[in-house]
Amino acid sequence: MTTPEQPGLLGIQPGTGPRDGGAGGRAASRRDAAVGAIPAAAFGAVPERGCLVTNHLNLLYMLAAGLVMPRSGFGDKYYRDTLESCPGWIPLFTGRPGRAAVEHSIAEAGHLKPCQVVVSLLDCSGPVMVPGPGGVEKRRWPHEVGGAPLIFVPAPLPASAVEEIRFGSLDDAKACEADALDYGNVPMGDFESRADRRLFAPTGGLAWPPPHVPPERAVPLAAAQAAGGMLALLGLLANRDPGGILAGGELLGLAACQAAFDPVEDLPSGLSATVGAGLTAWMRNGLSPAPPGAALPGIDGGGARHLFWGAIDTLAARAGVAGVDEANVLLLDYLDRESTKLDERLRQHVVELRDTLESLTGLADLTASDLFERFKTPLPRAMSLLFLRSTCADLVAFEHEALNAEDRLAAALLFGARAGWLALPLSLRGGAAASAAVSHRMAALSHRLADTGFELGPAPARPKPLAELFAGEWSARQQDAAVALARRQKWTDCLRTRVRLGPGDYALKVGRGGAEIVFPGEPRAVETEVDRPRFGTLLATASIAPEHEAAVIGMLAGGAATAPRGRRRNDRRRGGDRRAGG
Amino acid sequence: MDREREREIVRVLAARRRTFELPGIHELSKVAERAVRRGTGAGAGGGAGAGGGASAGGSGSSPKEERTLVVGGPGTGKTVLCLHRAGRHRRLKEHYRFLVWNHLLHRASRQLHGEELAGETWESWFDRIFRERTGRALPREPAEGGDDYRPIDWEAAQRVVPTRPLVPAYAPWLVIDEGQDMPPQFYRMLVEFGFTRFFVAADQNQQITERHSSRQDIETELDIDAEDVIILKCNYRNSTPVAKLARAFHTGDPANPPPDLPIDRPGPVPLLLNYAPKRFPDICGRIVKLVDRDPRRLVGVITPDNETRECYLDRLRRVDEAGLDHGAPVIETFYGNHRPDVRFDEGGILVINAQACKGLEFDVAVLADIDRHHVSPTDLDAVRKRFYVMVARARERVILLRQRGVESRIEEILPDKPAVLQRKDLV
Repeated sequence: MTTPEQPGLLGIQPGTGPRDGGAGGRAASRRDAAVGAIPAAAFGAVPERGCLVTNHLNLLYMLAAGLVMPRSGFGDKYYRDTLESCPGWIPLFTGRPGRAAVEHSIAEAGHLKPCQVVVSLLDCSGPVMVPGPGGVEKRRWPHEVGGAPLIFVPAPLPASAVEEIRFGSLDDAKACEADALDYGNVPMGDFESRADRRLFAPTGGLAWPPPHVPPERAVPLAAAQAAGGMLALLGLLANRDPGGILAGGELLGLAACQAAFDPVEDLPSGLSATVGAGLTAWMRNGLSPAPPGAALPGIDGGGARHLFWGAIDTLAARAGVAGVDEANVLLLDYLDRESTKLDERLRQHVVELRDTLESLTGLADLTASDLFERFKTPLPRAMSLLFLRSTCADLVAFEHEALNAEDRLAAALLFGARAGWLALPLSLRGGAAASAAVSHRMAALSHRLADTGFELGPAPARPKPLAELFAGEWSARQQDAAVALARRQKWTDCLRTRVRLGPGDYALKVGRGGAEIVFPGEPRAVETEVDRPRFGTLLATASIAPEHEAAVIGMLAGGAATAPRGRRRNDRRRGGDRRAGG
Repeated sequence: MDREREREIVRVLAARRRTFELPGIHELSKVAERAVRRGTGAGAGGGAGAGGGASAGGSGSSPKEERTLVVGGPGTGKTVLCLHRAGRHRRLKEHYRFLVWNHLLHRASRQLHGEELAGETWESWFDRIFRERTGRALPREPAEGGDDYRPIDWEAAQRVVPTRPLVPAYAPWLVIDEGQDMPPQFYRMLVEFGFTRFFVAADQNQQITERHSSRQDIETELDIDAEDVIILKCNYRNSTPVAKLARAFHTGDPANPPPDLPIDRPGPVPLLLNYAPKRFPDICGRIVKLVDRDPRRLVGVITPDNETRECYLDRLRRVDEAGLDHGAPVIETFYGNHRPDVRFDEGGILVINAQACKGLEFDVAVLADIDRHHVSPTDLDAVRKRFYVMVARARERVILLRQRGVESRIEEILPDKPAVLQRKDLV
């Protein structure tokens, strides 16, 4: 992470200045420092947002990745747009973009639709580049760039900063929506869109590509994608801790989820040195710390931790890019390499683990139970799971009585690092709020790794897993939400219904299909109660349908029920037949 | 049944469930993306090169864009593309028909994609359409070789004049998978009947019928310019080692080059396991455990003949389930007119003969007793083509099984480099 003493990407030395109480924290102090260097009045009005000109297929890719990305983030699936002209940067128009930029962004193929991605920069601060008379100039966002028609922001920006997507016609907007439905990982419904031909000027505006652009810069995206995958998986598995819930004890999954989203030093004591010790550091730095000194790590000297987080590094380097088989081969190669550096005792374990893992894709004479019997600790169990199951959805659905909460945690981290955020289907992303929380943290991690000095502002709050939302004494709202969840999940055996009747004579009729009580009048009350221990067990052990989870979280947040994905955007739309897809 | 037991059953069934899932945006190449959209309502304009945009909404596609031929080798994603295309037509509320070669492929497509897939086998569909358009029964040749099946008499069929051709505007999209296996006359008659919108996926190297169409045939019959043919080069199914082995069996037809090797997709090197006959039960037990470790995994045991198929089927079904985590897996077979309810949306083991495996995809392909394949001394290419198709069925891994001590000429076509095919003995 950039500190006030470090020069940052563009070599600008932040000074010290009074806080303005705006965005808060270091971002505010950096902004003031810059203002102190050059009076804000020297520049024009400060824009609050910028506009990226692209085409709809690149847009869909960015929404899937959770990041407004540079060209390098698209791999082979890139359609030429304005990003091409400034590798490593996001070119943002502060006013209406010129026609040349629009034409440039759809020139590659006839089926591309032009679009503008409006990004909020309200909470951002830090060094950017702007075109000047003789080239590009370093400036500090926001106070030093007023009046600039175009700014180059160091990539990436979080998708959560996307305020609106603009199309030139309703047909283009509909085509984009239809294309989004071709994929399983494009959350088009989470974003507002509108069609307005006037925003796509037929002529005029800045020439494109611009005569001067910033120097190319490398953008670390793989670790950010891996972090996104890990955060999502930790969120999904935060409830899955039968031991903790049943015993009323510490919920390791929940604690790890909290620590990963908002890194803290004090991790729960139940998290072993293998998994817990590296979690905070990795989420801050996107890389595991090197083993201390030149000594070979042994079992008791942090060897397992070194191996585990090194495996995370290996998978994260190709997060979302490598397929499952490739990632697994990389892991085998990694174990091969590392085994030579370990002490003899640990080396034997690692060689045995490696050979066992390799045999799992072939005709090994082993079942999963045999594997968990052979390996008793989180590291080999989690790595075994990588070879037993292909996708993150598979892991979430995986159940085995031998696995404990920490095994699942370790597996969640490995699976998340292997898949990355991009490869996660929408059903595993936890909805719009969770996606926003993850995308911000992914982008922030990338900026920390590249030491850009560009601050994104406060991160959206971490999504709370159900285990956290149903903790403690229950309020009436929690009680109602628990009943709703049990009904949706068909957990009828954790519900009890009490029917209160007045005094009188009742006839109980029992038949093959059940029983009925016949009485005059109406019952005084019908109450549905939740058997909390049973509810806790089911919460900890069962796979919960994402739409059910979203609905219950909506109830607990105060609404009746959160609308399913896709309807939410419609609900947010406000008036006007220019709105797309209405 | 108590609730715990009920939940356990639900869990077991869920653990086996496989479905066709929409690909992530990063998983579909630009070429495939163009093919999926070409000529369709919201994606019209996809066929032209730069700057050839047409407006969305369905009216912008030209007749040219409504005829798409996609060619590519095994693993290039032709079937996925066809399913994807069918899903797109459905979402856009465009009338379409998904036609496949046989019942097995039809079932696989329908189960993976969902019951809403408007699909059927090409021949039963054509039989019906012929009656509708001509008012006569489709002429057929006499049955041969004791089989009930009577092939279509194409010469006679072409002499029948359609009395009720389609109004082109109402013609459905025809999405045709494995289009190389339908004869040229099929395409010619479709055009005569008034069909105008075609999306055909084909691979000349995977022909399994005598009355097949070449790429040139399809281009000619459907009036598709060579430059409008979309060529899928990238192998999306196989790991590099599997693709390398498949390539070792490629016979080199320039009209349909093999797909590019996946450059950076390592995986386990295919294995040739020479097993002692007494280890046959052990081999079958290990195949069952392969599925037990991941019940969603679909393993294809591809046999050279019926005798071998029945032998494997019998032994696999007798593996003791006591040592398994998930109980006995689903083990099914498919041959001739025996068409049980094979579930492609569940993991398990499918034991089939080589000629039935085309177009299918397995997580692991086990090529059983390869020494029993007939090898013609004058036509090694025939067996090479068969191996090319069989090997390319595997997504993750290929395992070839061979009985020790059996004399066979199959060795002549097997690659000898250990990096392409590693060999082990199980004695």
